[in-house]
Amino acid sequence: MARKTAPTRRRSAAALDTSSTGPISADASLATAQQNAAYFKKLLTGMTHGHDSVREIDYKGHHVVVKTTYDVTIDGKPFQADLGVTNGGDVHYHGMPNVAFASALDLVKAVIDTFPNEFGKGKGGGGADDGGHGHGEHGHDDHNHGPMMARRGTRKKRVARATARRRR
Amino acid sequence: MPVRSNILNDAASRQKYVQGALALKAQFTGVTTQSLGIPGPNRPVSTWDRFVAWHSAVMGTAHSSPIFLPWHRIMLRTLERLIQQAINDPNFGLPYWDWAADGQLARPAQLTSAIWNNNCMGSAASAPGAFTLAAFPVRLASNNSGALAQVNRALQRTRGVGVPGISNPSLPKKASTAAALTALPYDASPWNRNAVGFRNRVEGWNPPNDLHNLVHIWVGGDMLPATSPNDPVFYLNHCNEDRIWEAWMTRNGRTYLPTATTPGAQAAHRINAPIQSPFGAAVTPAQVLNLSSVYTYDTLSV
Repeated sequence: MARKTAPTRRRSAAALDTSSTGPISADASLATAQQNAAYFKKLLTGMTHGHDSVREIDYKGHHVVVKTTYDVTIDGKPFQADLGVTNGGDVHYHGMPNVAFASALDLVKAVIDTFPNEFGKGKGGGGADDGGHGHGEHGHDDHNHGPMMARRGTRKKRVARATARRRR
Repeated sequence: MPVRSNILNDAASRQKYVQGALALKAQFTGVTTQSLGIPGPNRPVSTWDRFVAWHSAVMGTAHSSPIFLPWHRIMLRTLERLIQQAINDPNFGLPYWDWAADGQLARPAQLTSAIWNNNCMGSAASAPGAFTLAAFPVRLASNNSGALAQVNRALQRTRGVGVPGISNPSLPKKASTAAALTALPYDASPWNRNAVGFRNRVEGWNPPNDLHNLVHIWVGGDMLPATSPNDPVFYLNHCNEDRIWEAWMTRNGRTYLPTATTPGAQAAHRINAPIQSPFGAAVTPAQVLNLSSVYTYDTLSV
């Protein structure tokens, strides 16, 4: 289909908006963002925690419900994020939404590896599978760690202890 | 009409994608952290980073559910159009990464695939390519509870390292993509990570840690949290997912479940449920099942 031409104007989003572009519009303007800003702000600020994971099956005429609640602490502090379990027994967590962990302990290790700034250095000697600070392929001479690192101040000795109590 | 091509076979597409990513990272249209409800100083948010916030906001609905594929198709097409505008090329098509082709390589060779060359994605700060701290700083990142926080640091990847319990993984294999094409139906009750069907297979929950999910795990670093669109590799992964979906629909028909009347499904997951976008009008899964007149792929051989 012919594209509308606007020879006296620079190409704009509207100029590109022909029927061949399909049903998905793309306008980065503030005005468009403001149209549903409240909706997305509510989603971003309304994350909830502490739900049970519920699994249900029907087996030989019986309806089975398995509720799982995780009570996880790291260095004695509650780890406030939802953990769930698949029917296959894998544990998942919305903070790393693409991973199925074989155990909650592996999951918490991955949390500490992925968000190292939020847990400090730890006491060290974390066992054979302690993979260091797990912080990706980068050195420390080319960036800072943002306000979270700046606020942390002196490193206190911490007990790197993660406990996961799983009730089924 | 845009043709989406393999990023390793199309130098022009590769260059334009890198150019477009940098342009959107540097584009500010007035959206701020305050308007998104992100704590800390009120700072402008780039167009690229608005996609990070969008993805993070819908983590609970657009993943592990039937709308996983249509939601990301909308996201991809939105980004594609904004890059078209930014680089003034209405025929630009997002490239894809055929990760299962690299998955056929031995693991050491996967790390040296051309996708990690500095003229492509680079390998983060150890060999940054175009995505340096100065040009492409990560400004929004999830904290451990999933909430968005302001940061200022370089992009992070741990390529091939994996996570505890999934050490040194391989990229997905061609056998897995081939198996996904035969998975039926599109989705099924209970419409989540436990479903048996194409969507749950191609997302990578059944079997666990495969296909899309495995690519996130393999790349690691910023590809692990809900803010994974920080990494330009995110879109290459999802463009390949979209290509696999297109191949599946070409083979099995342009069907989607749940329909408007399928019992037991959430309203937000149904075929006519509107998917909200911060960049324009809401679109339904039904509206994006056939975009073959909008863009095509160079090949649907997956």
